Amino acid sequence: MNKASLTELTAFELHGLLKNGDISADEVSAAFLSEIKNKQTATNAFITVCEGAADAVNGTLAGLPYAAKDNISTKGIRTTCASRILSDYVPVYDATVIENLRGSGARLLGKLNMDEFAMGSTSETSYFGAVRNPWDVGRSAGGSSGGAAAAVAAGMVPFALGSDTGGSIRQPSSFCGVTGIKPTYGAVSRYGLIAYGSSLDQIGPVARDARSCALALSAMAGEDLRDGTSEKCEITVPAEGVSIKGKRIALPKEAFADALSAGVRECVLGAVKTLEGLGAVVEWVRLPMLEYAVAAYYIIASAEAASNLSRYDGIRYGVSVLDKSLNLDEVIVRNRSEGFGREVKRRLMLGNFALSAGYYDAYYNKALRVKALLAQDFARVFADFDFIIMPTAPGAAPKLGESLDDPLAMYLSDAYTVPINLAGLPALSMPCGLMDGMPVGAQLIGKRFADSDILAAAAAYQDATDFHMKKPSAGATEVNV
Amino acid sequence: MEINRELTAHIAALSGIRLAEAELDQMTRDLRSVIGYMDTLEALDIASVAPMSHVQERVNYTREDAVRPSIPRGDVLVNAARKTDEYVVTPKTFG
Repeated sequence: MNKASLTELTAFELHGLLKNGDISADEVSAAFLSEIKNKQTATNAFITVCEGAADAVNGTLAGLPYAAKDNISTKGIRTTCASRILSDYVPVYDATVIENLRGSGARLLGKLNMDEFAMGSTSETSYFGAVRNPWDVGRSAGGSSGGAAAAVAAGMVPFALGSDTGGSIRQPSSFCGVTGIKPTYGAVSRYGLIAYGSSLDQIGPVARDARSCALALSAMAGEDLRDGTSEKCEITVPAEGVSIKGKRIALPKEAFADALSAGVRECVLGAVKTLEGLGAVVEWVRLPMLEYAVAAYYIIASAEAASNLSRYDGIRYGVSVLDKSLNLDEVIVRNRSEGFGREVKRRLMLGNFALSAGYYDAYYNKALRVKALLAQDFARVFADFDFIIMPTAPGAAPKLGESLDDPLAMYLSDAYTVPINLAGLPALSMPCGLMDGMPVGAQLIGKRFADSDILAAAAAYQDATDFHMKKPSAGATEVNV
Repeated sequence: MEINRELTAHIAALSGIRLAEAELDQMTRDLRSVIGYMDTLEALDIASVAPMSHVQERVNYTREDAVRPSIPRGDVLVNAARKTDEYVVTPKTFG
C-alpha cells in the first residue's frame, strides 16, 4: 500500500489493518508525518510536531497516530493554549486522556493550533497565526479546535483530540467536513485539560467518521479519580449494519428560524429525510429557551474563565518580565496585559463584570436560572424522543478576517452548539452536504450518557451516505500562502 | 446597563489587565455591545427558578484519602521565570 492511500483511510479502517498486521505502525506514522510536512504551511494546523514519538505499546489502538489540541497537557511537550503567556510552557505531567491513549498504543504526532485559550469561533485568535481551512485556505477552519478539524480533513492525522466548551469540536468539524463528538459532560476526564469553563469543558475526538470517533472515545472515556466530575462511561463502537429503525428524532422549530442560511437548512433537512428513509420517526418540537442560550452561555463561560485564568501571573510558569524594579502587582499586571490577546481580555472582563458586586444577581445568577430552564426543555423533549437533530452552525466557514471585529456576531454564530454544553448533553456533528463548495454539518444530540447511541445513529447515516468521505481537492492545500 | 470608560477601567483593574487609551475605547464599545445583548435576559421573569450551577447531581464527591506521590519539587520549579534550587522567586511584595 502506498503512503498516499494510507492517509486517505479512516482511523477505523487503519485500526483494522494494523490489528491484522497488514501494515506496520511505523509505516502509518511515517505516512502521516509526511502529510503533516506537506500541508502544514497551507493549513497551519499544528503548533508543535512530535517526530518519531513512537511508543511500542500493544493495546486497542496500537500504532494509530493522532494529534491533540494544544490545551491538553503533554509531559515534556510544549503546551501553549495558542497563547503568548504559555508560549514556552512545558507541562510536567500528562492529561489523563493522553495517558489513556498512550496506554492503548496510540502515537502522538503533535499539538494542534486553536483559538487562544479556546476562546473564539474561527481559530484566528491564536498567537501562532490562524488555522486555514483545507477546503479553501482563504477561509476559517472554525474554532476553537480548528487545528484538530483541519488536520483530519487534510489527512494529516486519522483522528485528533479537541475540546468543546460551547461548540469548539462540533463547529470546526462542520466547517471542515469531518465528524466530531462532544461527549456527555463527565464522560471524559478533564484532568490536564487547561481549564476555560470548567462546568462546560469536555475533551472529544474528531475523525472522518463516527466509527473512528467511537474507537478513539472508547479508549479515552471513563471515571478518573483526578477529576471528581468524571463518571463511569462505556463506549461501544457501532456494529456493521447498525440500524436506527423506529428511533424517534425531534426537530426543534426554533433551530430552523430565519437566522439559518438556506443552504444549511437544505442540507440538514436532507439528512433528516435520509434518517426517515432509514426508518427513524421524525417530529417537530419546541425548545423555547434556545433563544436565550447564547446570552446565558457567554455570561457563565466568561465568569468561569475569569476565575480559571486568574492563575496566570507569570510567576510559577508562563512568560514573565524580569525587571527587578517592578513589584509583584506590577509584574502580574504587565505579564497578563502583554501575555493575553484581545479576545481573552474581552472574555475575562465580561466574566469579571458578571461576577462583580452589584451585577452578580442580574447577570450570573440569572444565567444559571436560564441554564436550569434550558435543561428542563431538553429533558421534556427527551422524555419522548431518542435524539434531537439540528444544524451545527448557521452557515459554512467564513472568510478569514471577517469575524474578528464584531464579537457579538461571532458569539451569536454559536447559537446551535452552546445550549448543549449548558445542558451537559452529548452531541455529534456529521457532514451532511456542501454549500457553495464548503462542508455543512448536522448535529445529533442525545440524552446524558447516550454517547454510544448518537455514534450508532451517525454510523447508520454514514453507512447510507458518503458526505463524510468527501475530501478537499488536493490543490487547495498546495496553494502558497 | 450603561457601560462607560470608567466602568471598563474598573473591570480591567479587577481582571489584572492594563489597557492603553485606545484599547479602553475599543473594549468599552465591545462590552457595550455584548452586555447589551445579555440584557435580553431581562425580559425573562424567572426569579422563582433555582439557579443551576452544575448538571450533575453529585454532592461532596470525594476519593479515598490515600497517600500517593506528588510532582517532584524540581519538576514544579522547571517553568518558573525566577527560582532557587528549592523555591520560586517572586518580585518584591512590599515597597
